[in-house]
Amino acid sequence: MVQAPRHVGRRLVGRIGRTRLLVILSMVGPGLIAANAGNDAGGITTWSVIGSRYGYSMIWILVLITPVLAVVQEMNARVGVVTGRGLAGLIRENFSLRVTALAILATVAANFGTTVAEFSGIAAASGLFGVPPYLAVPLLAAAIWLLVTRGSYAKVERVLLALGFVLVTYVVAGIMAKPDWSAAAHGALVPSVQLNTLWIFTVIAAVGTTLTPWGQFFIQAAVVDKKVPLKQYVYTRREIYVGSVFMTTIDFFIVVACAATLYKQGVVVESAQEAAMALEPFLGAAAKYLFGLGLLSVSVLAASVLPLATAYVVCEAFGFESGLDSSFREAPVFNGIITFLMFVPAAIAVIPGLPLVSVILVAQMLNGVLLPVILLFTLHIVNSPRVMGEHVNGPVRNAIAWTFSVVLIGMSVALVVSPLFS
Amino acid sequence: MFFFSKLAGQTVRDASGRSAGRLQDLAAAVRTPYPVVTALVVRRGRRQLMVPWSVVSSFEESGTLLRVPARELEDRPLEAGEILLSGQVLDKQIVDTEGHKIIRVNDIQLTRVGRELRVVAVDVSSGAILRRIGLAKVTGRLAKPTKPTLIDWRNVDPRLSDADSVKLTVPRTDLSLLHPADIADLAHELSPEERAAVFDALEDEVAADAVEEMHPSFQASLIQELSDEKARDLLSNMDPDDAADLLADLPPERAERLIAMMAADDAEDVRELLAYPEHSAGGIMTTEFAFVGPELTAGEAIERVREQEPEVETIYYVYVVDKAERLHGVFSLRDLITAPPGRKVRDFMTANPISVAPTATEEEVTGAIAKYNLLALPVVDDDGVLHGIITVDDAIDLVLPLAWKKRLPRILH
Repeated sequence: MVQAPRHVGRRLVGRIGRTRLLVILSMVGPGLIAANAGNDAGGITTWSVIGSRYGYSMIWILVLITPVLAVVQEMNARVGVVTGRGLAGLIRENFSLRVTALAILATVAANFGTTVAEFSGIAAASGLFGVPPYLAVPLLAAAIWLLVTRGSYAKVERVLLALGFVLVTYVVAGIMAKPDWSAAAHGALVPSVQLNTLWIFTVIAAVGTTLTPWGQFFIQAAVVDKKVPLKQYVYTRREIYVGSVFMTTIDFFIVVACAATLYKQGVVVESAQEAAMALEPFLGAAAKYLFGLGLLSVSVLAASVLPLATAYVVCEAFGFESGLDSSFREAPVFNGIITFLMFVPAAIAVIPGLPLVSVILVAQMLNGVLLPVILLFTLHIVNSPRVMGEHVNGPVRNAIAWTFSVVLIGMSVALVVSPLFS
Repeated sequence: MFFFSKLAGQTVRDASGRSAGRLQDLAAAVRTPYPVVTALVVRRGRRQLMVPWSVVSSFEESGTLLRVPARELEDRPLEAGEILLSGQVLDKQIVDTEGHKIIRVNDIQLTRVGRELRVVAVDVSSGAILRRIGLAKVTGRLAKPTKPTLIDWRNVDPRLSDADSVKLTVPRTDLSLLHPADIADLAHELSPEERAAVFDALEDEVAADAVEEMHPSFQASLIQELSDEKARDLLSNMDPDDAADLLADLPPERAERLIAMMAADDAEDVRELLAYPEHSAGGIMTTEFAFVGPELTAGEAIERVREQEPEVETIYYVYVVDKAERLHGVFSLRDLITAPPGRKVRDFMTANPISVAPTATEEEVTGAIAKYNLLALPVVDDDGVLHGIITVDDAIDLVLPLAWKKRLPRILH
């Protein structure tokens, strides 16, 4: 993915000059990282399962969700650039304390559970390479912790961006699978709907793993921490659009790889790890390692981003010093939360007998309920002239965001109510 | 004392007792160090009205009464030098002079001063959050309720503060929490009637702490402004040595009347202390010290000290006295804890401790404490009877002029 902006860059050098190009490149970071972090262990799993179970038929959901992802991320980034403040702080100032406290509490709990899922993703991926999880998980947790608590914003950004590019492995695996491109195009353009509980659940999972509350908190915090100036926001906006397309493109290749092999042979998998192992007979050991490497890098990426996003949320809401450029002594709460959210989930992921699965499931439920709530908060803030001045939402963005919010609320209600009927 | 969160949302009634709306915000003028509330922002349906403080007839946590009918109320814009407490202060980020984020404003404390309502501090404790979201009762049952952590309003710079944040006038390391001494400072700025009103409104314990921090001559004039009942409550909550000093400065008749009103044991302590000249060891000492008998074991002694702890001024030194209250020795908290539980007090105490006579001068007292590095010095008469102790804090007060002591920084936690 390093290639993409540089390639575009080379084309543009003649036209816009070297200095301008440097400015553009220096603005790259938050959008791509947020998009790639959204493609976390849960995301890879969901799209692997979808490919193996439904073949090419659900690709149209990826096509539909791309603009929604772009619009939502853009709104949060814009609020961050215009106000210079994080989402949690703005929620505290614009809504009642009771509502804020509830939302923050739920976000922290959901992010905790999601981080557990990322570390179990790391455990699964390391298993694919024959490295015992109880060795790989603590080592990687310590490495991530050192990077995030000791590194400056610029350093953390570079490492996280690099991790995102590893996802190109899925493109390679997808092409290796020699998919039926016309069937894939058909699945992308012609929506097919199945009206059964399993299918509806799968759609909810797919949406819930692509758009997350913590993703919204993170992108806003990242542009604030990066101190993106309003004048250069246009580059951040473009980066977000590129990032959204990149993210769904990766998902497309995951679906395609599984559809062309597993679905064709009637092999249904339940996890990303299983998918990687199931691909081996069809595509050789290389496919297993490509899938494993992808899973490892997204899990590490999201495991770095989630504790960070959570620390931003808590510190913004309660007013503690925060930021990647602050030392442990300057921002003890911020760094304390990051530390806690690295090592406790890592421990839960590797120590046998701890309630790993239920923690992850509760987190998914919470994320499902929180997403529309945080989205409505964002919509309220981004449409408030008092906060945003002339940078309030235009009609097209509002239309997309509101339509999606309504659909999402319907889906969240279904998600919460469904256990009552099963 | 009021918390803004407990006032917001209360019903404002007009002269005829009809509801004029709900209290949404308070406007305060920032001219004075502790801003004076100048108007109520009352919300009625979708309309919002600035009601000047001058038409408020009574202001309580339970509700506010206006002296005019609701229809006569006229709106006015926010004036220069006025801030809105909820709109511009509550929930905002607190930033110090170096740009460090400290915490958010969780609540605002106000106090009634005569007919005025003044902003005195911002509450930054987590207890304030629990109070506002209505969880204080639930958590109060699980754990001891946290005390409010109050940042003195004088550390706030309302001129620099903007829509995003509340700026402080000091770096975070110099931040001072609202302390009884600050209430004492506030009292210095007020007229006698206002002062009496402030102290009437304070809880006895807080008021007593504040009085102890005041200049002695000021203490007496304040007590003279208060009713007998309030004065008695204050004196009973003060340390006996401070109470005795204060009583010594009052006219004899009033002092006698107040002592007679106090509980028997408090009165006895004070009378004993009053018998000594004010600047002698007997006049400075406190009668509240920890003591045990020589035949107790270390384990029993710990139990005794634990029982006495709420009453006494220090437990770092425990004095060993016999039935006739004669002083035999002393041991430190450290000696006590490290002694085997079965060991007798007489076997690990330090016998014949350094002491002074009740008639000893201030110089002799501070000299002894400084020379022997004591945390407290016992005061013993010719018969060897222990009457009281002088703690190192009280000795510092003798050496350091009051003005210096006040300037020592009080650091946040």
